[in-house]
Amino acid sequence: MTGITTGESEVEMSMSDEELRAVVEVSRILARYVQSVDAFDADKVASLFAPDGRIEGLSVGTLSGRDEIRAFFAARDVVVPPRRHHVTSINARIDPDGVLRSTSYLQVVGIGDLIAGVYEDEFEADGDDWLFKRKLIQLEVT
Amino acid sequence: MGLTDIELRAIVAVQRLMARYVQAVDAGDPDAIAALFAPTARMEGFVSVPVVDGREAIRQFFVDYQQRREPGLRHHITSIDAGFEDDGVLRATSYLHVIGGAQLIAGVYRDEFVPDGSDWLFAKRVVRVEIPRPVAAS
Repeated sequence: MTGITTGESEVEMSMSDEELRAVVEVSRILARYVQSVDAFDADKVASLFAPDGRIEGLSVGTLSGRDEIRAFFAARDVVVPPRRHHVTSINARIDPDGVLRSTSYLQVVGIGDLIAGVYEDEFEADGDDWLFKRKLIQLEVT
Repeated sequence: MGLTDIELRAIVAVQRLMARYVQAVDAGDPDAIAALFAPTARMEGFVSVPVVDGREAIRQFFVDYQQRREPGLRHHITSIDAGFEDDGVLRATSYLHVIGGAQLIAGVYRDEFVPDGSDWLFAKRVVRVEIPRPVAAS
């Protein structure tokens, strides 16, 4: 156990090794997701999701499973220069129920209307990797 | 599971290196910027100077940049995907969004890193400015 002594009490203040790794992984998975979306790489986007992974909150309704996710992203019109999805302010944590989740901010940067919102994500372990189990997109500014 | 200990430390280190870079750029500190680069590092993709070779040239580039830059800019780095690639080299792709200027500036950084003792330095930094779109070289 590591901690610091403050007066009479030792305060447990270190994140578990498991959570530390998960937090860093989430920052990378989120980056991979937005970069794959912006690169119009539908296969790569789909590969970041569990086989039964879902995306909720889109105007088209819920996308269930890799095939629907792939089809949705493959159908998008290519825009040049790309409107890039910047993901920031990532709050990743293992919740008390043992599930890895994150809340993060989205801002679309590019020519055109301002689009911004919040991603609520839930992840599932897949061997050595983490995959999106559920991505909820809440657009707040469009 | 997941990340090895080396990967974990490397990813966190380069996330911090990128934050140090933008903060040194916005603070107008060419020495601090240059210290983040390996001696033989190279920067590519600036509209004014396509290739800047070596730490000293990079420092000089930012000395010149101080003279002409718009005040009050903040370079935001987001969406960092860092990791070791199959050739064993640590690389990252990230997004740039410059806030505070008269004009929208945004693009993508592609970086390569080299270890330096217990830390990591930029070995190569390619910036692709997408907005405003650079004028093609004539």
